Amino acid sequence: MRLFPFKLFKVKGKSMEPTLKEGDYVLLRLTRRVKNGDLVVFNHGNKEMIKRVSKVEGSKLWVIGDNKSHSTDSRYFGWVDTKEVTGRVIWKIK
Amino acid sequence: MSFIKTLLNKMNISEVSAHCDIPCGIYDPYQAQVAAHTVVRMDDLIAGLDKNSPDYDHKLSRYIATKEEHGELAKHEVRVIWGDFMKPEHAQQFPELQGLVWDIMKAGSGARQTADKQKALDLLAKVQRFAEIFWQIKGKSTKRVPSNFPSGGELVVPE
Repeated sequence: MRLFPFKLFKVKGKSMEPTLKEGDYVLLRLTRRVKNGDLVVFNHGNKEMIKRVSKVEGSKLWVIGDNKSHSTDSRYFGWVDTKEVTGRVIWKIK
Repeated sequence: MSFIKTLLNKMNISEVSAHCDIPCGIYDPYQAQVAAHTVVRMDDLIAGLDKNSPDYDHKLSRYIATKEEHGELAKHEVRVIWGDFMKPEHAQQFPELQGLVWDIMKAGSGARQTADKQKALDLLAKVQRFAEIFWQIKGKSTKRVPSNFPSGGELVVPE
């Protein structure tokens, strides 16, 4: 069990505009329990990415950036396993 | 900027990526059209060659080489726009898109395989249609303007 199940991240890139802009911060609840519409941070190819969950099927998530025309997401790399999920955004610091 | 953010900026916080591979967004089907026009032009030049000319072989070789290169270039340019810029929802929006790109790949090869001008014109027509779809996706209407190239024909450009 984690003593402090939260983590702060700084946002880089444009794929989550207008929800999150480059340089904004997000506070994460470290959990793998996410639902449709949640902003999630997950590991993809040794990099932590932030996207929005648009579909949940069992242990698989379909994630899409809010700024669809400038986002590399499940439309390219397919489903994300919940094993890869770091946590869910509970606070946006803009 | 909020006080909290100012404070956080002074701390070393790991970054999370909300990125696209390269968010350059710089795509234009112009180059694909120019390449297709070049293929048309090469077929014209090949047809106009004088077989008795001393540099016939030399010129023919050059025209064929250029035709090969630009037939492939047209395919490459279309493939990059289709693969990098276009998204599954665009294929839904334009049901002809996937088949059209497939046809361009075939037409590009077809235009390389022979010096049949009709094949080159077929490639050009398909690339022009692709250009129209591209600009429609970007919310721009298009028009066809004279190419002003010796190959004649038109270019699809945004209005």
